Amino acid sequence: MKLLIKFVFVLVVLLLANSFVLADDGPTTESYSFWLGGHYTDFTDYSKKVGEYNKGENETLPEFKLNYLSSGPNSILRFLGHYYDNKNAYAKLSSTISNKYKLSVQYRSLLKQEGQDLLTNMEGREYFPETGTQGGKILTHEIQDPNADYNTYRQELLSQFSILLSEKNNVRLNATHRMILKTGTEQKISSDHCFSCHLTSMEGKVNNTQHQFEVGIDADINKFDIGYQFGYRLYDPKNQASMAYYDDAVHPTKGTAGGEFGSRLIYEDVDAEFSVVPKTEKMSHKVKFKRNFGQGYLAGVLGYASVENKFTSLKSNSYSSAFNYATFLDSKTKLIAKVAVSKYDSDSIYIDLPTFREGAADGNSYNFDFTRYSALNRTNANMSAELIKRMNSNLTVAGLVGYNIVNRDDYPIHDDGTSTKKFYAQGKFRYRKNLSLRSSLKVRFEKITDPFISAKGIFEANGTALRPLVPTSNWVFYFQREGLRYQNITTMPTQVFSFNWNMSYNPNMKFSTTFGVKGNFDKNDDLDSLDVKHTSFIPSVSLQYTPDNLFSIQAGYSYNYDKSRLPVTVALMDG
Amino acid sequence: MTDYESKVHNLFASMSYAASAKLNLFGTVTWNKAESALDKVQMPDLAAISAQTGGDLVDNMDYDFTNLNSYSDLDYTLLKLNGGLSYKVSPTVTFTLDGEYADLTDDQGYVFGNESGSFYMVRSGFKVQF
Repeated sequence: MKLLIKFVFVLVVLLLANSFVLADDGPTTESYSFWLGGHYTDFTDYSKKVGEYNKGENETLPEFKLNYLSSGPNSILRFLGHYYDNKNAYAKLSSTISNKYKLSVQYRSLLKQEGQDLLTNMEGREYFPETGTQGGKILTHEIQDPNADYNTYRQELLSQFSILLSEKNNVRLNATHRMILKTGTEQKISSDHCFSCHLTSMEGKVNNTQHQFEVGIDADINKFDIGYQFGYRLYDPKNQASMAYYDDAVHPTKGTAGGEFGSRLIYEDVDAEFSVVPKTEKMSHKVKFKRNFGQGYLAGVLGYASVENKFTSLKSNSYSSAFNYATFLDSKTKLIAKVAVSKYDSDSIYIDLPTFREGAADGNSYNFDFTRYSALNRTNANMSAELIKRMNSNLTVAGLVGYNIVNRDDYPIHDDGTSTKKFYAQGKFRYRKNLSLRSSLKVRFEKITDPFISAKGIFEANGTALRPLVPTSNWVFYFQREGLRYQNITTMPTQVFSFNWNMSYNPNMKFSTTFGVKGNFDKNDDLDSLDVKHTSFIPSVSLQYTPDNLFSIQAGYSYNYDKSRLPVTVALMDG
Repeated sequence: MTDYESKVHNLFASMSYAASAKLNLFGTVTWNKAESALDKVQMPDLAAISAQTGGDLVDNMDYDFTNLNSYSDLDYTLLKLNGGLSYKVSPTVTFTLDGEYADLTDDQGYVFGNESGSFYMVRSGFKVQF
């Protein structure tokens, strides 16, 4: 409601300002339309899927729309508004005065129904067939609010403003502010990890605010287009923390050995916050330029951005640059070359963990404290060249080759990272015959070496035994199993082939058709024990028939097929 | 390793007809069917592993994965019908009537339960133009 009041206030200010500016604008023409009515909605059975963006009530409600347009010799003022119900509304006011001022303010709101995961299959327990007994590895779930009715309400206020500061050098100031409010309830699930491994589902409050602000200035000085833009974004979850009880650490089935199990956990026998979303702040600076050379141009962008987690003061910085150069080699041949380099650098964080088996009688205790270096840290470089040639009045062909390299400094090991390299080549053909037939085909191939991996992500090898940590015991601890992981894992491909073909045929002014097929095939068979493949294709067809200006009909069909060959892992654990 | 397969069909048709200078009709039909499923998951042969390791602690558990692949099945069918008319009562006043019907059939309800449901909406009003 507060956001709606702000919108109405801004609306009134803009209308007054617009009236003032337009005072000497000359004669104007105005048109209004107002629609007043109502609607009745009726839901049967489960309403949250079929009515995902509806209130889900059987009810009759008033509804109205307003449309206003004022056109002057040198200006346009427009208002559009639609009130569906008190949770779904839209309004926009926009004004343009010559080429000097442009402003608009827009409000929209919607309600989204949120489902409740029933956790139905989140149950399992270890079983020993030889003895017919059950073991301690177990997973259970609990839903504290069965049949909950979750939904979230989103409101957005977007204001945009542009003013020509000087006609000399075309100096223009642009500013945008976007505010998003989201309130309501949604499902939160805590994962407890001790005497009975279980998931607990409960209601969580949603109450977050986003502010995005951008201001920039552009100018054209001696055929040099230059510009600067500052960006600021604040995401404030106004933390409505969910709380969960973390169980007392005891043996899963015997309920004993609390001290031994407790030393493995960070939390036990305590109520603690979970599913905490950080308050984040982002600031960015961007400088751009473009210089025309005859029929070609050189353009570039330099950027810097910093994101901070305001809860932990952890920061992430990014530096980016991109340059494009385009020129005609002859009257029918164009060259476009692109180079881009970016670097991402996130703070490292020291993870302070409780000492494992602290004070154990056998003296086997361990300190697992470590420094986490971000897997996001990387340098990304990309370069490509594309040649476009018009063969004749009907046919244009283009060929592109490119190379991309991603150096990850700290993944999987600090200061000993990996480097992903990708070579790609692409061909495009465009054919056009009169106005009746158009067709295009794009074919692309990529070859990737060392794609991003989950380092030693594959589970232990079958048949590999572990020695108990404590010689007098037969216990094997979970951290020991890390030593059995024997291979990197990934679902990222090393080879990709894709194509996109479409054709439109219009034999006359009454009838038109389009056909298309997209396909993507990729695989990774470089890993010893995995054979990853993805296949997808999307054929589509559409028809349009307009025999006269009274009747028209359109119809279409598309089919989307995807197939992935991937590893499956079942997670089931005890304390 | 196993295969995950997804198939989605989308079909639509729409029409508009100016039956007279005062009466306009319109309508849309959309039909969507989405299916996804995992193939049978071939888990390790536990008897062979147990024999190989001599009943080693790491490998002597046994779980029933018989129905594991079916937990990810999805099968939705969504039918939507939309239609209406506008009738010009006078040069400045237009009467409108339109409606929408949607029916969702969930044949593999599991995560959120059975999500089958339907709804209809009927809307009417007058538009005034100046």
